[in-house]
Amino acid sequence: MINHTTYHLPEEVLEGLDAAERRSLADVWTLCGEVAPVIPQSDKEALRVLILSQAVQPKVGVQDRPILRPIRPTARIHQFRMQMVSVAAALVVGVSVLFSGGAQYHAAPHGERSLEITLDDGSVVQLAAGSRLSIPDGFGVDHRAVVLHGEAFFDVAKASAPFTVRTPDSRTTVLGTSFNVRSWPGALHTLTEVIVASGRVAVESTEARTIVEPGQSVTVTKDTLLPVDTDPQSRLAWLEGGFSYENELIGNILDDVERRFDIRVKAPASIRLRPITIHRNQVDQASEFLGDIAATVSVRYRPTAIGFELYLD
Amino acid sequence: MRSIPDEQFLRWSHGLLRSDATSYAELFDASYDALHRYALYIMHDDAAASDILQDVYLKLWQVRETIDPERSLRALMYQMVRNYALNHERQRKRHAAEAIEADHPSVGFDSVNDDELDAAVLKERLQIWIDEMPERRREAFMLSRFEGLSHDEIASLMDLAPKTVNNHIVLALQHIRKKLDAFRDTESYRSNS
Repeated sequence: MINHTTYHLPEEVLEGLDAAERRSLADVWTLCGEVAPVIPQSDKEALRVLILSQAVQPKVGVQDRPILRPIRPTARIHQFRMQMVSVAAALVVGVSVLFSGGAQYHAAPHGERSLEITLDDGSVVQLAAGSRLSIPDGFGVDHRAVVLHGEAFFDVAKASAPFTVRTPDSRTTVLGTSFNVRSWPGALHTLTEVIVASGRVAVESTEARTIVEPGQSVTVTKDTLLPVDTDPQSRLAWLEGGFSYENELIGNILDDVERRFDIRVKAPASIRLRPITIHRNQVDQASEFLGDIAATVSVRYRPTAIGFELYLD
Repeated sequence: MRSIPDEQFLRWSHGLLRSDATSYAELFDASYDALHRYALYIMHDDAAASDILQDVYLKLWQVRETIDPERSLRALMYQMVRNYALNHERQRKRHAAEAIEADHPSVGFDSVNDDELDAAVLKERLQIWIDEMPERRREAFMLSRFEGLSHDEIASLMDLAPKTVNNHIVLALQHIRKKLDAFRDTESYRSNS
């Protein structure tokens, strides 16, 4: 019954009081600790189940909401680094428990370059650190549709059924090609961007549709989709452990760095909202790349207990 | 929640921004009891407090993409509970304007038997004395005593000056001490007679 979490009487309370008064108020303070309300745990359990069920529902249209089911043991997961297999397995299993009645679902761990997944139709997906891919029931049989949270490069096997990638604000449809979809729900300003390496893809948003050719990219907005020329080779540097951005907000870049190296990077909005163009082929340490960013916009950086901080002088 | 370091809340903020269900679950486990108690201080109703908490956690997930990691997630959550709870109280009072308030039964102070004068009774009395205080004083006192919030945190949450928060807490303690002294006098009078 009794809540034993005791906190010391704040010093301010005792200011200007004599010793006897202090003692007696401290006694009262201690005594009051006996009557902290007891919280019913049954409501807590019920609410826990409810809120987690909403948190793990991928945001998709009503018609093609995937029927969730447990991960099949045959799901083939290849790792770039073998020592991470157990970590990733624990993560995938852990998440599948959260998704009670779960989907076939893959999550790339933070701090890793990417997770390679071979789908049942032979298509290969490189999933960027911190990204998730859910694969509705019937994939490769009734349809070839997946739902993406984060960033992934798709090398799609040719087949008669179209392959589609959904994000909260877009749908990208292809027959057989390779392309990159980037869609971080926490990102500043833009949500989804599609870059096409080979073949043609169709991209749809709520009110617009366009065809994106190889060597083009498109940023999804609700009512306009305007493909622009880009260099997929350089923009997809993340596949080889690099970073490459054209006119991207620093805040979004820092989010990638956090996921890639599993650290936290602090920066004020005045820095986060600045767009830069930056390219690095191979980055092994977060500090290398953060140093480049800081130098590009003439700010300073320093390590913190949990990562780094960019700051203005 | 006081014992959880700010860095942990920062990690959870970033987790929510990434729509990470694990962060959301951890945050829920770590914050539920404290926020439920806080809702109770304002509403005095377990069921209503549970409803409020449901609204708060669902809302938190809905707005996860707009969370500013530069600002305290802990403060945000207390603020959400406070807004929802006060709103709920206002509506309840409007609906029950002419109904007799049944949820604050006045407990008979004068009907305590001699043999009940033990720790359990004292606890019950403490509860009553705390409940007797003006609403805002009780809220400030309980946030300080049970949630370990600093005076500055309470001040910004309740929109008061930190000095006022301090006054509330000193007056709360003096109020309870006065009641306690009177209670002990009665007790010793009874045990002597």
